[in-house]
Amino acid sequence: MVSIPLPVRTGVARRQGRRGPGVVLVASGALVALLCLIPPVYLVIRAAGSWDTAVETLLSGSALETTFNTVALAALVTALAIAIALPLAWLVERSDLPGRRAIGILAALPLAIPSYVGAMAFIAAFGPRGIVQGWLEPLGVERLPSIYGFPGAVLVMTLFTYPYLFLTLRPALAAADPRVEELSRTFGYSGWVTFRRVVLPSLRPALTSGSLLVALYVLSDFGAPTLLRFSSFTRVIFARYTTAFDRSTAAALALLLVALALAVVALEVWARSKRRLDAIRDSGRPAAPVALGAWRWPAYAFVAAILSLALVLPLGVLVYWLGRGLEQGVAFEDAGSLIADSVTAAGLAAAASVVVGLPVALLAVRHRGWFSRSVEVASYTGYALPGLVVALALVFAAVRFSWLYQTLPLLIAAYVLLFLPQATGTMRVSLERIRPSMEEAARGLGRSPLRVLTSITLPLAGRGMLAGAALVFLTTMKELPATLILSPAGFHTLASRTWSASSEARFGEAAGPALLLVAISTVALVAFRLGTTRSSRDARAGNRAAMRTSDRD
Amino acid sequence: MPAPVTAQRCEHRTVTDPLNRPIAVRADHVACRLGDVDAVRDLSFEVYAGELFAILGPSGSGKTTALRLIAGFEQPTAGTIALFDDEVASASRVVPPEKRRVGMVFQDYALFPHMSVAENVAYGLPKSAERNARVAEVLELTRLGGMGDRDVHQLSGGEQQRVALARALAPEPRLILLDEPFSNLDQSLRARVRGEVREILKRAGATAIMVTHDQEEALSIADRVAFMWGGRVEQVGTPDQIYTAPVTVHAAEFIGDANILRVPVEDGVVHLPFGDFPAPEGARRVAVVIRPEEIQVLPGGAYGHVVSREYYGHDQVLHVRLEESGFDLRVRVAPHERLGGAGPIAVGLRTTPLVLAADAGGED
Repeated sequence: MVSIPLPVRTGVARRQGRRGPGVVLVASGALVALLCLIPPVYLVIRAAGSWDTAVETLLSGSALETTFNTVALAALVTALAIAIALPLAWLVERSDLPGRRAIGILAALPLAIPSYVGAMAFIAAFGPRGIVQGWLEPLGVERLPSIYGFPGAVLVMTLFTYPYLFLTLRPALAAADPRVEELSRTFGYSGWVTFRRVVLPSLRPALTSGSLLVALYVLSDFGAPTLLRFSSFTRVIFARYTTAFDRSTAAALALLLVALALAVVALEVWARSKRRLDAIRDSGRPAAPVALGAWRWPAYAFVAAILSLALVLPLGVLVYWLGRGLEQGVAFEDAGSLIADSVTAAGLAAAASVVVGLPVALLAVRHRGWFSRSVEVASYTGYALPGLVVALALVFAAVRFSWLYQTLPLLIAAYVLLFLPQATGTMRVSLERIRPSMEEAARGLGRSPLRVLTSITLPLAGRGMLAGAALVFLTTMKELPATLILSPAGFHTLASRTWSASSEARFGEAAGPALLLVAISTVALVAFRLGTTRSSRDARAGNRAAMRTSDRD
Repeated sequence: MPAPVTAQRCEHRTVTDPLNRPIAVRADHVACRLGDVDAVRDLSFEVYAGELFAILGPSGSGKTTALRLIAGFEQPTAGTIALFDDEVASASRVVPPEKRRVGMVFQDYALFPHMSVAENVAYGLPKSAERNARVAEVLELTRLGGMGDRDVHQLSGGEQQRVALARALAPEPRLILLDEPFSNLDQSLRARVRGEVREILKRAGATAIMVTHDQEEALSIADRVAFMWGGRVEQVGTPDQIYTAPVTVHAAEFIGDANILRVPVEDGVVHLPFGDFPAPEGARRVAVVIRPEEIQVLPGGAYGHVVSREYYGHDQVLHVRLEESGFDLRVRVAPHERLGGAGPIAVGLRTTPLVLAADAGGED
């Protein structure tokens, strides 16, 4: 009879606790956590290395101004994104607006347009020597209000980030219990009062998490503010990194940005801990749609305005410039190699994220405790840190290992650090749907933990893993700052080409790769949405099967 | 490794097997702490080969943890568990579940949704030429013949349970464990499925331990029953021993309907309205256990009034408040009896009541 020594019990077991995680799982979890901690550690080392410069930088007036700029941008964009996303989500989920299903799909699509592509389109349209200027010049309009600076940055970033809020608000609106609203109406409150006093409070968790998503995106976005010449943190840091002789000022500013981002994440954690109080219960019955009557016309006008700015305008501008580029013969100069490099990088990043994320997700779902909690928190480093900061930190780290600098593995490592939470998040959801009793039944039938993983857990979680990979693929395609800083020499992706051409106003050259990026992102986005809805249908089928067991034979 | 059989353990053994079967499971003073909860405090029993053994107890009594300890999903913090004299678990060493050859049938059946019925059943079998034959054999045994290609989602609750049982039986495990196997089934199905499961297990010659909180389930199909309370096995016995001779007040209260009268002892004697009875030695207070069906209405005896009545069809239960002593009794009588009215009635006992020392558990 084989006996094995008792594995170390990690963490406090739940009431129905089970045996601790195996050695392999603990070791790989610890390794992932350590790797994730490299960027912040190196950032601190670099900033502390030249302490005086760092302190001087942080106390300077320009640091204060940059902080103010960044916070103002994040706050205003978030507020405007709510003002767009909340009515849109309500119209799609709760009104009788004809065509609301199509609107629901279209309104999420700006997510597939990277914000720097959007910024480029707006500059090409409204900038000096832009399309609109060209139309208006014969009419005597010499100068449009400038697209550059704060107003332009707010406009562009709002239009391309509101879908995050839209997508979090929709399920919350759909799941809200209609009985509560009906009850409020029986007390004599009007529809509007009911919305304000009953529906809106129940949306607070979704509003909070969606807003924080938007705020975090604005803080860490590099492309749009830089193209629109607005001095938020990312633009200033990149400028210091590329021009300054001493890179420690960049490190010090990056630390300040990290502090801002961590404050936002802390807000989210705090909001999540409160969420349990006002959890939304699913009554299983959808609410009756609200009849809009004549209000449908203003509703259509609102939807049309948003979609034309966030979807029609950028796509139209890109197509226009694609035509100009084709005329000049520059549109697709090296399309083949750009696509190959992009797909290579994104594919490797997706695969690596799933492999690296699996132990994190397994620990989080099957072995709760302080250890898996710490691994999970560490794996969220990249979620909190802006891509620019992670890339800089890896550059600082690679100074010690110069054979790594500007190699493909280092670039992939940056992507994994940045997008790991997306992979673990989707894998977690699908792993949570697998009842532990299934794995235990397989163990009881004589299968080792590894065999159980490959024959039961992974096949059942397969769709979730694919969805996680697709999500990482999508975001890697669009990723800009890490790609710019860490790409090997001669390695050009669709994103880096779009950037280099558009920052020099060679829009004809940028339009081709940008449109391809949008197309690939759309496919990945749709595949991901289909994947998640398919698997939720599976979950429902599973529930039905479980319910059926209590039916008559 | 075989556990040495010590003289002390032999003394502890209260039941010896008259059929001289080998001992399939021996749990010896097993304790298990989960987080900061003492889920199991003292688990001691023996299960003989070929037996259908039930662990019965209220929720929170530690019975599911007991099953998981035997399966290998939990580790004991004290004590030992042996399967056919192989020690599989102690505080310092543990054999992982896949090395124990123990089949498990879960409450939710835990069928693999991405596999057909036959693939589910074949999962625990090694790849060999006989594999398909064994699957067919087990499907036949569990009356699932011809359903091998079905998707598990297409099965009824009873069929799903038989697939779970077939899957557990296929590798010919040393022991089958069933966790609340009937709780997911519709009430009207349970009695029939219970009989089926017992028949399948007996035909397969399997040793099985079933965990349940349903006394009817345990008493009707198990060969022997262990009663658990507060993480301890309080009594092991045949169903009729457990019902007619509970050794603790918990067991008497949980299993079946019982009147528990708590009375002081005077000079070694318990005074009841029905007469005097000897008290257990040294007890100062006792709990007298009287089943409602052991009380009968007589022309004379202890007098009382009918306070209320629960009518069940096959019988009825009267609530009788006795004069003088003030005891409230539940009395089970035939459905056609017209008793009560205004006048007093007299009740007496059919048998000598069970008198337990009040410290034998349940002294709330």
